[in-house]
Amino acid sequence: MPITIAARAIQRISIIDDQAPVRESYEFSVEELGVEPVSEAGPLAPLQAFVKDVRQRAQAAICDYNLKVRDYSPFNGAELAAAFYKSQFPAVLCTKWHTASIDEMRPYRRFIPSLVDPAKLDPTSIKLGIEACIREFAGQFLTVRRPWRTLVRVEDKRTSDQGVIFLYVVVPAWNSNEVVRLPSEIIPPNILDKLHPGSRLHARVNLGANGNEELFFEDWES
Amino acid sequence: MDNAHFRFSSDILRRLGEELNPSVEHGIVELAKNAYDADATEFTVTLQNVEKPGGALVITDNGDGMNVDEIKGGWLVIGQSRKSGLKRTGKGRIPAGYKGLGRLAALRLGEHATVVTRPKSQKTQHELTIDWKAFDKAKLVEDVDLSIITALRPSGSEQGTEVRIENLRSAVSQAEVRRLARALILLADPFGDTEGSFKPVLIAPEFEGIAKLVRTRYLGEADYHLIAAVNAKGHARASVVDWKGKVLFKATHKRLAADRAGARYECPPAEFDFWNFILRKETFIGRTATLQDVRSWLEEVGGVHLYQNDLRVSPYGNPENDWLDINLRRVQSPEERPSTNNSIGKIVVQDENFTLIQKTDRSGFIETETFRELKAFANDALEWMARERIAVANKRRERQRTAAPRKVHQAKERLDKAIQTAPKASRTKLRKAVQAYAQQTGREVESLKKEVQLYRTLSTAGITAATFAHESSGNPIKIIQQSINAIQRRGQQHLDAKYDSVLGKPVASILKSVDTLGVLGAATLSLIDHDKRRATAVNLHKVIKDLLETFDPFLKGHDIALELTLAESKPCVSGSEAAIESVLTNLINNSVAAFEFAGTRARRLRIETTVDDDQFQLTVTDNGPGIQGIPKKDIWLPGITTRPHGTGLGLTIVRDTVADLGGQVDALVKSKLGGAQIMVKLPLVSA
Repeated sequence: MPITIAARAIQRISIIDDQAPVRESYEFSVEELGVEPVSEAGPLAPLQAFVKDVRQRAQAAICDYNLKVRDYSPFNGAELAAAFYKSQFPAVLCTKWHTASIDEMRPYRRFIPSLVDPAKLDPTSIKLGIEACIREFAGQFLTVRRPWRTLVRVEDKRTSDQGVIFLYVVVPAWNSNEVVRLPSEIIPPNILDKLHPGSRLHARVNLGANGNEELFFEDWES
Repeated sequence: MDNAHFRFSSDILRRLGEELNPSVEHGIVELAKNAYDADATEFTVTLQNVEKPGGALVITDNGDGMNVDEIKGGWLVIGQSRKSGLKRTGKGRIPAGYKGLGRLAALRLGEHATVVTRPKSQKTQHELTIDWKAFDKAKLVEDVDLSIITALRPSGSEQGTEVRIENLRSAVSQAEVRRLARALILLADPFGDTEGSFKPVLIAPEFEGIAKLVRTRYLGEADYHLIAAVNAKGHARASVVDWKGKVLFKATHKRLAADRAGARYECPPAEFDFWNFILRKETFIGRTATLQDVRSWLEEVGGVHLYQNDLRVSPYGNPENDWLDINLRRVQSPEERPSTNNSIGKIVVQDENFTLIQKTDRSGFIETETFRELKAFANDALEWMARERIAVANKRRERQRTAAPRKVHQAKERLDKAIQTAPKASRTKLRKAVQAYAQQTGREVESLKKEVQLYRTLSTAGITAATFAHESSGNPIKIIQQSINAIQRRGQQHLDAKYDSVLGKPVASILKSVDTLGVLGAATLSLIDHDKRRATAVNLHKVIKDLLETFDPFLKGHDIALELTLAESKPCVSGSEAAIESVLTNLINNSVAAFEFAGTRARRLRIETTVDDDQFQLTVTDNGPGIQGIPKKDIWLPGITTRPHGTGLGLTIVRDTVADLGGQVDALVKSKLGGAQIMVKLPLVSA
């Protein structure tokens, strides 16, 4: 018997993690939700082919972030969750984030409505996560996710020890006291080149975000 | 039944030509490629009064010309791909076979265009005039008739084709002329050792300047010349030679393709030459070229140019086009790596079957697997060269390190000789003074060596912790967490009121332990975040609160009651978050270790901050055993510890870090709480 989330019938949920015991542990919550878990053993196919495969056997997915372990997957969980989202397939990214992984996830954050800490993954958070995705596909954003055109101020532009260029920006309409670090790849190069400390520009940002890790940026205007 | 056809609005010609090939040089380069296909050896572009609208472009070649059928069935057909099945030309060239969109764009630069073509070994010539106004007026492309007038060739005229584009709609700017000149010069690989048979020329002063630069060829001055090739079987090889021609490194396919487990490169045969210059004054001493010459030359023609069957494919190697991510690699790992400013290169691909397919708008190749493989070959060759060079640099450093003691010895001999020259009476005095100095320095060096070794050991411990932090914060904890949560949910559901008495306690105890365990990973990963080492104004209370939040489950797990009192303000110091974190982390670790060592019960850890004028004080106090078995002044010394597995470095790091921040440390052997108290004073800055 499938369950219904936001008017979509969900019968099976794919579970994507490089470790079989972890996948197994996620199955507990999925089963309690009344849905059949599908454990995705690796190695996974290339991104688009894999998305297509999963769509055929499940109606939603839960994936870990660190998937590029051994030969399990050629992509990471953020890329995967974003690809699912773009094909209107609900996915919950389940990972314990820390500052570095926020940077890596930021370029995909616009397409990841549901990021759940593994400690908090349970039937309820899975259901809410799937629901948030489906509603966004229909243009209904949660307050924390709705993007608004807003002013962004550049505080600093620096290159890290690893050679990645980061922008440090303040979004006054979100929190005028917090500096947000952005990997430069999320900004079009022609705009990035013109930016320096003190520059101001517009972008669409989810101003209702509760924390730094929830913020996403899109549609930059120079 | 009615027959019907698609018909095209005459506006489509404008769109196809101008929107797909927006620049002057694209269009003219395509005419040059037509000339190449017609076996021309010369291709000349003359600009007439182009500084303002109304000027003209005259383009001539000495190729095979066209007959009427070729004009009608080829030259006037737009968008037809003629690549497949084309035979080599009489000169053995592989025809580029272009679709005609660029040609259309070029012809439309003016209000009318005239083509006069004189076919090889014929006495006639054919003339075709295109008046674009007629198309602007007509509704459909087919409504405009074009006539080809055939006449006898004037005596003395050579075979070939001349295209006159007149009444130019807009002026051609100097920048466009410059780009055109560069595109024409680079079109037919000017970097080869043998001069090519096809020479495009632009009659303009800009052209001469650039052509001269290219002819000068500083390639022989390159400090490193990478020569790599991949053959038809997909096997690659490479070598690097220096400016004297000496082979520095050599690699087989296995070595180059090591990162891809030796897999062959699925691309057409290609040769990759890459010249890297060390642009420093000292490396140019004694050479014929000057540093400035080479710099301006690289600026003009630098980049890695890509040639498909002897003709260049734009935009690879254009200014700002770093298609092999050379600069990115350098930024990621700067040592011994080239940048686009100090290098030049070319990749010549023999691709008779056109497996690399150009995009219709001429913005390069379609990103197919074949193209990615070609890039992989080039990238692997560059990466290999960088690794070889780094290995050499490491050896050089090693040599310097071993040479250092020898140099000290030599300096000592010189000093002894100098003392010999002093008056006899003061020699003994001088020798004693020098000896005392040497002893003191020796002690310092010894202690530094020990300290360095200790730091290395602890760094290794840190690296190991960080490596395992990923693992422990990852899988085992995740699995325990998920499983215990499931037990809790299912237990509550099935046991109802009995749950608490049956499972409540053990489940709660596991949940608490998992939280404690999680701190190891979280705290370690949080400490190594590179952004925290950034020098800035650090908001002290924020760092303290964040750190204590991370440690919270750990402190609870060790039954430590935290008493936190923060001053009522927002104090900031100039430094890095990492510095403040390392001070507080070490102080907490110190207290926790003292509790564990002494078996303290009812553990209390008090963290207080006070702000007084321009000074901030952090005080960490515990109710452990206090400072015992060691003089207070020695607690800051490296390697000094009273605990069996202690490193004796925690408080040294605190002292050194605080000193770096311009502050001071102090300690109380026994505080009011009963244990040790450490005070850290830091000078404040305004936020």
